Amino acid sequence: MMKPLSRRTFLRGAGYSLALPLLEAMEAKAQTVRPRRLVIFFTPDGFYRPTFDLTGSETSFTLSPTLQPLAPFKSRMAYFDNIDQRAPMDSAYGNNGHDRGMAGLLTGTKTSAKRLASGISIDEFIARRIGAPPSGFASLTLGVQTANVVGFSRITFSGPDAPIAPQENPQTTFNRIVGATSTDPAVLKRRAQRKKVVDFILDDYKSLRSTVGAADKVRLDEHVSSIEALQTELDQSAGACSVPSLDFTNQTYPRQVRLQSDLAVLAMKCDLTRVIVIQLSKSVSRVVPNWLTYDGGKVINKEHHDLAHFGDGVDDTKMLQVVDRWYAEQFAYLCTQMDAVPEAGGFTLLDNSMTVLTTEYGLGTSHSMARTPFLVVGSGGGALNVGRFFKFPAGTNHNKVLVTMDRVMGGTTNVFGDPAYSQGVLPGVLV
Amino acid sequence: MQCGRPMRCIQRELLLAISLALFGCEGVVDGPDTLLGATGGGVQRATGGGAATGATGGGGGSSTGGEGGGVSGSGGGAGFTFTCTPPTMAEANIDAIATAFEARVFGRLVDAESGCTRCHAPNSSRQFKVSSTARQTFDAAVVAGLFTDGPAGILARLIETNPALRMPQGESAWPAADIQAVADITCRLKHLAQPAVCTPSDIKPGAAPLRRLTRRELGNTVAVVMGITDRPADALLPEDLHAEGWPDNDAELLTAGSAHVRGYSALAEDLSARITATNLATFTKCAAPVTDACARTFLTDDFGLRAFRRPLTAAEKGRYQTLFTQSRAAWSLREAVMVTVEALLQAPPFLYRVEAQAAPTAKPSSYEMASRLSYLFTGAPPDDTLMTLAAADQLQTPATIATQVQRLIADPRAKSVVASFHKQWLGFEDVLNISKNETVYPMWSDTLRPHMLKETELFVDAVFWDPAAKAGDLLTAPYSYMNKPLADFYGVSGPTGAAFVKVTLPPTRTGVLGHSSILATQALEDQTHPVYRGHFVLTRLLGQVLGAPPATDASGNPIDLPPLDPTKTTRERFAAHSSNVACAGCHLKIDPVGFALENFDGTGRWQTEQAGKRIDPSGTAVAPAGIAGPLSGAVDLSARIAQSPEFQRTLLQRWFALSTGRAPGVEDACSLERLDTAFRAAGHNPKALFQLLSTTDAFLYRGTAP
Repeated sequence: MMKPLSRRTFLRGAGYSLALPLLEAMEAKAQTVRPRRLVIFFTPDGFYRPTFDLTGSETSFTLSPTLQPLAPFKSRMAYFDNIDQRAPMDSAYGNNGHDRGMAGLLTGTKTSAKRLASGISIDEFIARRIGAPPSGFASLTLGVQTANVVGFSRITFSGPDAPIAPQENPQTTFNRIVGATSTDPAVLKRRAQRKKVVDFILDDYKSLRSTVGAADKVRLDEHVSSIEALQTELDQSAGACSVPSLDFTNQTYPRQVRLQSDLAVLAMKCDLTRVIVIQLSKSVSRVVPNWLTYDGGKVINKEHHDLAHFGDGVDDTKMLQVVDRWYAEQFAYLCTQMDAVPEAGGFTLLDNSMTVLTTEYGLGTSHSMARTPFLVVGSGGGALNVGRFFKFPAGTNHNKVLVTMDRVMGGTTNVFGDPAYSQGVLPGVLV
Repeated sequence: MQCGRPMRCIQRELLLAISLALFGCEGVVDGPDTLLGATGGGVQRATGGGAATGATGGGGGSSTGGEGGGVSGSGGGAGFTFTCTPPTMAEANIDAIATAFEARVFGRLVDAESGCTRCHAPNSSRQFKVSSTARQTFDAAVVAGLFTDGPAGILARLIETNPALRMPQGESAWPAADIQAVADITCRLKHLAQPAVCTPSDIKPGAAPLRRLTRRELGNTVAVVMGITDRPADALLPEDLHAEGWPDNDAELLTAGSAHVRGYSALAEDLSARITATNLATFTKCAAPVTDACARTFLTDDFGLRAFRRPLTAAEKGRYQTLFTQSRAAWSLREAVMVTVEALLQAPPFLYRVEAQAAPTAKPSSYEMASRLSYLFTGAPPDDTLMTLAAADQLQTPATIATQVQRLIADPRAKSVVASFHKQWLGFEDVLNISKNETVYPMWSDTLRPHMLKETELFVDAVFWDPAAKAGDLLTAPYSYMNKPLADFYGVSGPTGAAFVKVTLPPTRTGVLGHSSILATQALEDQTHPVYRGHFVLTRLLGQVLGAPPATDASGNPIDLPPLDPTKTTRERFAAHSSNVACAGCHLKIDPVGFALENFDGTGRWQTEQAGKRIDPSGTAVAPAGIAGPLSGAVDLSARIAQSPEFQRTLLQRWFALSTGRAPGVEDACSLERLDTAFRAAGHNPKALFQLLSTTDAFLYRGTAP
């Protein structure tokens, strides 16, 4: 038996990457259950397909130029091709791929009359089912410059027309992690006082809830359940975890992206949560990626969304490729950080996670939700066949992706989102 | 007109016209595009009491069933059943229903994979057409059906009179689900058509949702309650979600999830941490050394009163005093104060505007009315005057309420409410985020952006608070406010320094559609964008709802922005819209409006030539009816918008939403009608409209718990 930490190195070095999933699966069954995580990394406004799409066969494929930053993870990657967001595509509401794609991406539902989702999102569904790890929180929803426009700014939902605002303030998330893991008596006392307040106000909300109309009740229910989640978190005894200091000054867009990724990794490293969504910008992204250059030093001076239409031909597509690659690099950074966290059995946090790169539509130019990209890194604790380029039949509903996420996270659901579009898992993906 | 004649939008326009005519305040909808029947007069709404009646022309199909279910008809041989359910408040928004109708029915016609145009491709011998006669018959049938038959009857007429609904012939029948959808949507439209009887004695306040404070309101409330003005809420809470062009206080969207609950906790702790051992006596208004009894009484009777905007009930006092006593047993006096303050700052009566439940036609209590007044007119909690009046129960008559409105509207904070409203409605604050290609636009500099924002802020403020102004001056005023850098950019003379001064505009530019904060925002980095601009005018200024652009054209090819071409003007490049069947329906409406603004370049500067050709801003506005007709350019367009019923209606709608925390619904038809009459009587003065919001049933009465 190899030493755990060198096992992967050996296999990779020896070129056995294709055998890895099988081996992992066998090991997973033999070992105690590995803690599985789901991480969804959202980037806005699609990708430029000619430089994004993978080529090759299921087991022998080539990464595209845009996805080169993920080359180190190729053997632990799965790409799902030909996935359509059929439910939102068929929706009667919503103006285009932007709002429909945002509302449907993680919910698998049709867009509502309010241009939001008609049901809960998969991250929230799983978080509610599995609950919070000891001393932690059921899920973390982080965002960077997601703004506040109906239909364009939210991908996570606690139910129909109930969007969840991502936490954009990294300091708040950091304080939460410190609060959950510190053993400092002053922090513990503050925590006890916080608990006292939370217990107290929860009763106020519950009694108000019994006096209002049905629609108001739905909103108060969300408030109540959010307080209860905080209460549960405060109920648990703090688990010690060493938390490094982070620099929260000078938060430009790239810096915010890194900070949120660092915080996500930290929360998982301390096992405070198993479900994380990181949403970068919003559909119709107005971020001007002017920290990037193209064509030998020309600064990119256009909004991402305008580039996604690449109406002006050559220059726009050149800029877009640079922007796409930057987003891929940010995803690769997250994966690299996760891979640097060792866990039991010689695996890393990344191995034990299903880390998904996705976006709200398949084609920026026309906002088509056909062929919405889903790229997975990590086998979800041995649950997924990786090192694969899965080409599903054209028009495969993305609800299958969502059901697959639930299965990886230990669920048994066969239908998620709009039942008319949801039957079972993606074929051949689960081990 | 060819196949591309507004196949999608024209029907939608029809539905909107019918519905708005019934639901909104304006009686007549007419014009080249509305085709409401042979009488030519459109639909007229009985005022002052009569039920709605519809002008009818053709039609004549028989009713084959009643409302409420049952097998009711057949479409192309497929039997179907349906149940008619009245619209919910959320669905009672005609825009949403029309969108659904369009997506379900007309989306199908042009869908590249399954729509009629798959076989009946444009320019083929089987080209899909709706002849004007057929359209007219169809339209008249719908109108007739709305008033005389149940949805089944309407459906029967639809199928009978509209060949499209019998399609595809010789293939499978129209899917039952689609027929169901048509029936359902039509049924809902009929329900919308019903509440048309307005009598002065009727009180119809509509829904009164529980309203969470917006982040801005919360910041103002913290400032009053805690005397802290550094606005910690802005950093600790997420932005409030809002629909484009609508106020940010839509109660349905003001949910409180995890990020909010944690934000509230962090905010309360941030605020309580400012209570120190040194200032404890000052904070509690107790003599030093502060006793438990004094602090406890302060918390419930003084601090609690301000936080809840009403006295605590006996039960609440008992609960909070117990919290204090228990905390005191465990921790120091200061910490017990902090814990109690934190609880009060996270309690429902602090974070929400909680009103007691009673009959919808009952009046709110004086304390509730104090909050309604203060949050509407100042975006802040009641001041001392309102609290004193509320304590004496003096806010129960329209007269005392009107006196307070007069007072509050002079509060400087009313100006910021008005400023925020306009920012949310017109989105001009986005100018701070844009940038331009300085090779294409050498006069542009990012440093101009705050000046552009300030120009519109000052202008909106001036128009709004001018007692002689009309709402339409927002579009037609021949003046603006500029400093030297901005005036140099526009090429306007007058300002000499950094200070903003009032300037007279050249005759080519009036109102907000002459402002770079809007013109440059509704454009790309290196070119104008007639669609952005046309869409802006139609949706934000005229309250139109436009459907989704199709992803592909009728032949299945992706539709892209036409590439830049040095030999063509922007207008020439966008010509494909009106020649492409999939696009034409909507773009025949959008593009002429955008083209009218083509004399303003991508930054908002005046331009007369492009690609060596003279820019042609003229065209024909197709819809809505209020602006329809030949257009000569930007100034003409602005004038047309300013006098249009659609603009006035949009204003009423958006302001009403601000005052109620919800979009107007079916039950507000009479309120809106009265508001419209009073607004008209006040010469369409915008400040008068703001004040009139305090006179609606929705404002003066409790309303229904949704």
